[in-house]
Amino acid sequence: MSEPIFAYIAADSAWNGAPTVLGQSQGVTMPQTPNGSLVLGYFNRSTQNNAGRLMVTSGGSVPLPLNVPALARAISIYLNNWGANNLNVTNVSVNTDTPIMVEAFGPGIPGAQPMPLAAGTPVQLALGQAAQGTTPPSWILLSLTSNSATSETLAVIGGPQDATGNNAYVIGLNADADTGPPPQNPPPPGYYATRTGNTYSLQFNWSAVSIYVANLSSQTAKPVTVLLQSL
Amino acid sequence: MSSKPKFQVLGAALSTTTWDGSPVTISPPDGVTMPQTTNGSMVLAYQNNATMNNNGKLALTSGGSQPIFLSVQALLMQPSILVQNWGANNLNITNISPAAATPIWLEAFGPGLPGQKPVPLPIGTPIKLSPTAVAQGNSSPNWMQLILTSNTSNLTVLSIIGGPEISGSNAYVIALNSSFGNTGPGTGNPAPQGYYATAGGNSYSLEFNWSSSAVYVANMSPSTAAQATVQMISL
Repeated sequence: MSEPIFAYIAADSAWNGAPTVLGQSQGVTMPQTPNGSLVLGYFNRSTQNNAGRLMVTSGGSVPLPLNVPALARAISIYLNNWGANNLNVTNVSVNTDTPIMVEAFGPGIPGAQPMPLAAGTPVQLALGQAAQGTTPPSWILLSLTSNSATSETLAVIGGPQDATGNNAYVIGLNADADTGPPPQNPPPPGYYATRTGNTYSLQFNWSAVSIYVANLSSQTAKPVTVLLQSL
Repeated sequence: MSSKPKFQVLGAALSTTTWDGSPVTISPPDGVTMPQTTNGSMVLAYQNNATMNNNGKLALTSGGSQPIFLSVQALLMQPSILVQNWGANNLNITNISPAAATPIWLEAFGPGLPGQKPVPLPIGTPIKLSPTAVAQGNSSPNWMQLILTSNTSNLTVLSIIGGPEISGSNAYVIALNSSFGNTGPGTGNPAPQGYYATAGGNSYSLEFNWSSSAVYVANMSPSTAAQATVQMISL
């Protein structure tokens, strides 16, 4: 009899998004994803120079491979709206010594317990930390600032969905190019905008919304200051 | 033998069959039924209470009409509203959100509907209304002015019900500090869908002569908005 396509050993068949380390051939299943954008973070924890790979499936969709670079000490992220379908993430790395940490980030997802984000009060976020607050129903300036030159990646979730069902914004600071929505240069895949400088301001008027910010930078990056201002 | 078939009927009242408009939270696939709506404009308010980023959806049916589908934005702390005159027909509302963790709060707003305790709206004395608070008073049988004000830059949405029906509606939804700017009668700009008028500034004046009529005002602003000031003046 033939082997199953993926030698699937469920590490957690009712995964709620909390940080989980997957050994080779292990997987997690989130029975129902949010019906909005969700950030899947993953991180190769192998001490050896073992490039890893995850395979992501949802419903009957074609499996999506995600390369997980070896020795990188930064969270890789994949942003998507799986539309309340299930989500399976399986470690299909070729070397047995390739543990991969996976974590889902988003409002209401266990794992990163968000700290309060109040208008006018800056909050410092270290790697893996999140903040969440409710905006006043007016124009808002969300400032992301790093007082260093280290590369930073932040995910912001909130506001109305666009035509593709996305309502998340991944922003890079101290990146190697200034990019963003038109007419700026197109951002790298997965990003909404990047800045070569150490600050970015997102301006919006989404009425009173719950807004969520997570720091998905590298282990050696400095913390990022997040400030929500009512204009 | 085969298992019992599972299906879902739009408008099926699974939780409350005699909804009177009082605040209620329904999770999929539950619904509520109002056996008889008012024979005049009614404001249906709904808000997604999911803590996760779960966009929601409601299905509305009344009599044998085609279902109306309402998208219910995730993480939004503001009631969305649908103003309509269902003409004393029944109204079924079903939560058909795809994600199970998508509770949606519903409430019907209008004069005489249960679940609300309107504060008096006197003539000449301004009152303050917090989000979801309502007020009701009687106009004098002459020209009146209803002044709506917010002393902040917060989006403020007020629903007014009263007076004669015009094209089947006697409700007026007005937004202050709106990003749409000045729209509605007298501005040359059409109001956004669902609104009677919007003001880019923080004040709006509605003049009317409805004889002696009950005037009902509901504050449908976001939960973090400041109080609105409502003043009814006899001209």
